[in-house]
Amino acid sequence: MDDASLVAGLQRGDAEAVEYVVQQYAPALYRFAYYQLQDAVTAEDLVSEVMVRMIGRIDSFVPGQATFQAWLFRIMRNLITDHYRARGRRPQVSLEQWLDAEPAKEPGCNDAELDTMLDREQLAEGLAALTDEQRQVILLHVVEGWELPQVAELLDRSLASVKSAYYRGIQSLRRALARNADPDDGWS
Amino acid sequence: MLERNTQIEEVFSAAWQKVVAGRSIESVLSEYPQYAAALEPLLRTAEGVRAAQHPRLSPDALARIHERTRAGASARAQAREKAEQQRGNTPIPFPRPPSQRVTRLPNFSWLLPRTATARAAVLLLLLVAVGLVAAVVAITRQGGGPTTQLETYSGVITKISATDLWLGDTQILIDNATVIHGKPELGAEMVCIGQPLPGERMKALEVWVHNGPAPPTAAPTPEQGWVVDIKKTALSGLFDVRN
Repeated sequence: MDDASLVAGLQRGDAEAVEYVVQQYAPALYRFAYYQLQDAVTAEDLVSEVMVRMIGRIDSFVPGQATFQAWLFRIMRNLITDHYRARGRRPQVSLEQWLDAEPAKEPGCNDAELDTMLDREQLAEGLAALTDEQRQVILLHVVEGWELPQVAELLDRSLASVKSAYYRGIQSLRRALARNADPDDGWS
Repeated sequence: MLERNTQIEEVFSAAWQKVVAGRSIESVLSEYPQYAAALEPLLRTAEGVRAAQHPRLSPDALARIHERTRAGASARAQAREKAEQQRGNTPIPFPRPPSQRVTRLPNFSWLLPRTATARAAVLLLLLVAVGLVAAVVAITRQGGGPTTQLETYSGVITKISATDLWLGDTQILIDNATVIHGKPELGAEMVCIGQPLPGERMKALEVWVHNGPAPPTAAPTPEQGWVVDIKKTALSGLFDVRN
């Protein structure tokens, strides 16, 4: 179903369109929220809220200006920002910044653990060490498969800036995963 | 330190695209021998992220989200339908067809006076003009007579009430032409003329009933009559009738 048909269906209140949008987008929105918040209940609540807001504002969506998917994720980003604001912003010192301050604590190169499949908690902990932008770029580009120009548009950044965030984010994530995989390497 | 290395950033992005397209990491690395050592751990990390066990919505959670979305869509559709009926308009498709698109009005700001005093005077004149127009409209309406298309309704009186002068939703506006003769009685046929207002459905009717043998006056007053409900034949709904 293309965006125009989907939006027209939602404007009419079609059950089929509602079913489609939930099945198609709720899982990705949930992953995105979960990795930002690390809280399954809140992530589910925010997905619900995205859907309700989407329904309430469906007349304001203009097909062609942005994809419907990008619009949903923009709503989710705003909700996550509001959530942080309501509960007090979490520390924004990324692993990369922390390493810049204490370069002697650079983890070793023993990263055999990374060759095994990451589980959810490992990845969530690793992603938590990144900046919001790095985390969102990785989630959208690597996990959800968005093209980098799409990510740049959603985040209101240049493509070069997003590529840089992606590169640095993966670097930092690798460090964080290596650190978390071996607590005896001087990181604790 | 945080130095920008756009070359490796570009290479990493391009290399990852090839992995996503289905190439093996080893194959991709062979294309960038000078960057292979730096690229390999990054590509393997990205691959690990992609293949990780990501959180999933449970079927129950998905059902809850679906239900809440469905309820929101239903409420929105009902509200929209009601609003459209009240406006008496057909829904305007979105995006609007070219024939219905709003065009930018010409800018007449150059006609406006430049000073604050002159602007205040113009504003005052406008307010006076609006007041005069409103007064003329009110006087015209007091004089009676239908202002828009009227319709004829007929029905059987099923209830008479002396207390409830205005029941239910005000769905039909009755002007001075809506007059019936004599005291209303249960079972009696009634014919009235009214002006339907756009609304959810027509279920209420205000009717002036002229009390007495004299022909209907041009402007009957509410104190003259009764409140009756009639069963309207055509619409099969109860109508609240005020005389």
